[in-house]
Amino acid sequence: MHFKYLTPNTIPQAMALLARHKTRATVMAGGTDLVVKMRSRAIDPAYVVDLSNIPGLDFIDFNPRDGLNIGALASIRALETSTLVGKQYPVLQSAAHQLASPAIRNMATLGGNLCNASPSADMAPGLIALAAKARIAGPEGETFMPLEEFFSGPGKTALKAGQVLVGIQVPASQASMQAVYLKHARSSIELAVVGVAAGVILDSDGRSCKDVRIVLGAVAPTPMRARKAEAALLGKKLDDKAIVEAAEIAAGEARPISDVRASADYRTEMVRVFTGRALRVAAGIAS
Amino acid sequence: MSELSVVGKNVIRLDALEKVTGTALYAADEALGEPGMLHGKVLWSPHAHARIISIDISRAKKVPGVEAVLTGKDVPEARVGSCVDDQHMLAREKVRFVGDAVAVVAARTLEAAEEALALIKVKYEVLPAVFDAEEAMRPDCPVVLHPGLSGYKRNMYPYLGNDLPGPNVHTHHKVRRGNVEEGFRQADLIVENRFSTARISHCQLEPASSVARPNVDGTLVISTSTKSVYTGVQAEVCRFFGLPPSKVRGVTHYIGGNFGSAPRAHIFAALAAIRTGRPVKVVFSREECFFRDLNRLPMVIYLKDGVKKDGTLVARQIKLICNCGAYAQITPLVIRNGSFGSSQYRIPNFRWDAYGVYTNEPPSGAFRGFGNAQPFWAMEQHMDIIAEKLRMDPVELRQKNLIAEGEENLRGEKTHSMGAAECLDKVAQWIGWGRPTSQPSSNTVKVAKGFALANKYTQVDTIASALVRFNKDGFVDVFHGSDEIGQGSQTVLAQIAAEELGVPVEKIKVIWGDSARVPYDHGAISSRTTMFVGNAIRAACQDVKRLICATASPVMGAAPEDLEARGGQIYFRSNPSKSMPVSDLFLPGRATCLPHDAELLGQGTFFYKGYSDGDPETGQGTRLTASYCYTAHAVEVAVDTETGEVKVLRFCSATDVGRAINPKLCEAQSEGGIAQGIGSALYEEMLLDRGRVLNCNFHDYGMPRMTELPGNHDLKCFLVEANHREGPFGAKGMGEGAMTPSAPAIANAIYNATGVRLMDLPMSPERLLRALKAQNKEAGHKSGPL
Ligand SMILES: Cc1cc2nc3c(=O)[nH]c(=O)nc-3n(C[C@H](O)[C@H](O)[C@H](O)COP(=O)(O)OP(=O)(O)OC[C@H]3O[C@@H](n4cnc5c(N)ncnc54)[C@H](O)[C@@H]3O)c2cc1C
Repeated sequence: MHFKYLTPNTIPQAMALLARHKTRATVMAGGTDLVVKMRSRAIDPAYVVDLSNIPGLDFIDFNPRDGLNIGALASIRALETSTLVGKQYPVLQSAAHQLASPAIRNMATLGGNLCNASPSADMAPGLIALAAKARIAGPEGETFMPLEEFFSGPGKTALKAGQVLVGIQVPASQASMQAVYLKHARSSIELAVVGVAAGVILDSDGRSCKDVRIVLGAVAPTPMRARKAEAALLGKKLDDKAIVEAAEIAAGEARPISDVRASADYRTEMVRVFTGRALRVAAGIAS
Repeated sequence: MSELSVVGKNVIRLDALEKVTGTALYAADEALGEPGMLHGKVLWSPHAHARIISIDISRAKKVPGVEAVLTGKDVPEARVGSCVDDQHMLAREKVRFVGDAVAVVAARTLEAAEEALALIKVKYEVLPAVFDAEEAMRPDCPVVLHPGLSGYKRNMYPYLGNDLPGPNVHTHHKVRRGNVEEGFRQADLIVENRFSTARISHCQLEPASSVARPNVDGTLVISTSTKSVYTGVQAEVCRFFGLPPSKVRGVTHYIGGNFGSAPRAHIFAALAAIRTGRPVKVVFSREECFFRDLNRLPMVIYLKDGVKKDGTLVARQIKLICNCGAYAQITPLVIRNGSFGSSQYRIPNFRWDAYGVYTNEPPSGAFRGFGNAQPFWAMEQHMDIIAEKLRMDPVELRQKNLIAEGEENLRGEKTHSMGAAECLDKVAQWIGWGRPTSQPSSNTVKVAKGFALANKYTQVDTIASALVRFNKDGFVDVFHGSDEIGQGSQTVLAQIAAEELGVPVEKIKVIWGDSARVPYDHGAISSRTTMFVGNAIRAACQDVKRLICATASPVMGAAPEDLEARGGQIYFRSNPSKSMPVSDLFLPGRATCLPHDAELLGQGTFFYKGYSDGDPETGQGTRLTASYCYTAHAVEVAVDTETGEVKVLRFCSATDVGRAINPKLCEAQSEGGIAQGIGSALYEEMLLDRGRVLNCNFHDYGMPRMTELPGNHDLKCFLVEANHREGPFGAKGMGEGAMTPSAPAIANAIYNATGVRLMDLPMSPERLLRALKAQNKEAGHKSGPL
């Protein structure tokens, strides 16, 4: 394993390095995914472009117009401990809390978690439930993309050559969403067997479902929305019967594989159980 | 026994300061930056079973920095091994598991060694393989791993090679007592089941590390992470390489855990060092540890029990099929010694047949409990099954059948130091057996308690010796050959010496870990150090006291037997107010020298004169074991019936340690055993795909974390002290027994919570959920509530 370690101080510098070394270069943020892959020889980059020296990319701020803005280099620990996030979007705080251990959370970044594009990435389902957008910088300038379109396969994103993720934006409108993320794993340090985020906005009557999102992790090549289950709930009264049905539908939508953590059958069953549990919490039926 | 001043006290570990300040040396610290040192790397077989057609090392040898590329041609022709000589150090004609050693590269840098490794071209002809032990055991199994087995040399317990039922079976161990057929005829109830245990890894935190240095005088100095510098390093290297003991020196430092693992990185380091004449260091990666450490022996267990209506056990028949992997290693001994556990109950008719079977999986071996936890997985669930069928209380059923002090057990040994009943009572009381659970069950979460009783013997046929030197300044050097593997034995041994000599423990220095400097010992195995080495040290202390009195005799004008040495003073027995300091015996200005008698050096040895090996046909003997350590575990679990997840809410252990020389260290052993026990019960399993380990790292392998263990108030470790008459101050070994009852205790609790009995390990959420669903189906319910 021989590689050159490069430390740009600005985004344009980083992009220039990526443009020069093309596929022989890889971006590094906290390194908690990347270094593991390099050590196991899964990847063997000639250049490692470390973004962590770029100042000002670790911000977390909120304004009523844009909503929540998070820099790609914000650490998972910062999200977990941010009172701002806790107040406006508690699901993100809770997802951060369920990701790995404090030591890893200190190093791991939000950008890294998303760009690593693991189907089990713990930050993805909650953010997708909140209709978050990815802010992408590239040679052609900055663009936004719905986060749910950002993932294209295990380890694959929609980022084009030379592009980097610079941040995440969560619309202000979603602050009224009641959302939860439940992770089914032996403990937070383990990767999710199944992760389910459910977000609900109730009508003014406080009973029927005005908006709903169900996002599943670790049961498909990418984090995925259970759209049929969502459709089954939209406009309906969110009671136990509707939830049981939606959970069943979500289980049918999942496309899990069997691996060292669980079989596909078990994952499917857990989608049913945890979709039900997540919806109940989001609907305020259970704690 | 008179008042004890050091034994029984929570003396702070002698190594505490070194370890918390990070100055303690471990095997991997050896030779860092040493000029001329080479790095060794091993090429492992990617196939579970294959013939080696050719090996091309020409490109590997050309890599700059490479000093040697060794293959099967470069190792001794004779096969080597632990119990059975069935292996070449590097494969010669065949590889038999994914991870079999094929070549060793020694190079000036690790990078060069790795580069060369990748350039070795091996042509294989892949052969059919067998992974399932029951399949491999069949007389007509088409895959035969070792066609030459009948001609292989056996180094110990050769009778284990008699009556082998198939070409892949290398071990058959028998125990016979009474007549089981007759016993089953007398029984009112017969219970029969099949159980299995998983392949699990020791997961000691420090991966194996070894440095082999050829000295100019022809000695090979091997510094390695080991539990026995003599048996594990010196004796083995001598045998493997045909060297005399005077030419091999085994050295060890602190090691980061062991639990029975035997990775033998030093064999590859030694091989490369002998061939290059240079020091060679070999460090295994975590991944390599998983397939080279000799995992816990997976067993399939067929158990049949017969009982009378009143709960009296009348017959037990047990057949064990053990997946030993591609080479026998130490498994014949693990299988033999795994039979001792059943002796805790009175069973007049007993039949045990255990088979060690070759398969194309990684070789298995010793693991905390040494073959006893596996049979207990079956036997202690059976006790609960029987109790339920007879409508008896399971505590009472066990108490009723427990063997008593002085009684002859099913191996013909006289039972002594029997603390099992008290262990059972202690845990039953703490967990609140028969009383409500700490939290109520809900619709989906079921809470219940369970317990189990198990034990671990200490092997009888080993030897310990020790030297003790009394110095002028009142400090005492204790030399012995058992290694510190993290358990804290050096502290315990210092306490024994301090007690015997009447000096403060701060004045004891313990010297260990070098076969050139310390007397012989069998090593830190089988929970034997406290008892065997402790006794040897005690004898050496008594010897030095005799010498002190003899030396003082002319000076003090009294016969040696009228004097007593204690605490650095020599007293007149008739008048203890008159004494002389031991320091006055020494030459002025010298630390250790006496005027005439060189030094105050005592020596001691401990071994059993009258031990018996056991009859090959019946396993009966008179002294097969040195001591038994009993452990009872009681747990309270919460089972999520929708996910199959089990949370251990409360955990209690009680362990009969004979006497706790250092109670805190005993409790630490108990706590560690509980953690490992929970892991083995609920999470841990090496997953293999056609012999290849899929989860060989801490991310994918299910070791329990802090979060899976009950917190302070929900975890209790009791120590029971049924003094052993032959132990130092009554102590016996206890480290290995610490996890033997965990898995059946948790299984019993899960059954009590859900009515589902799991017979295969681990009790993973998925396995439990499947069983819950099957139960629901049987009961005619549709799938459970959401
Ligand atoms: C012990 C352990 C436990 C873990 N547990 C969990 C867990 O429970 N849940 C979970 O979701 N994850 C877990 N992880 C994975 C990892 O910690 C997280 O995914 C983390 O958020 C990755 O962030 P990072 O900054 O370390 O990413 P890095 O490793 O630096 O990068 C990850 C990938 O993203 C790319 N990348 C990073 N930043 C950018 C960017 N701004 N633009 C473009 N590409 C970029 C890199 O090129 C790389 O391919 C665990 C890891 C370890 C080692």
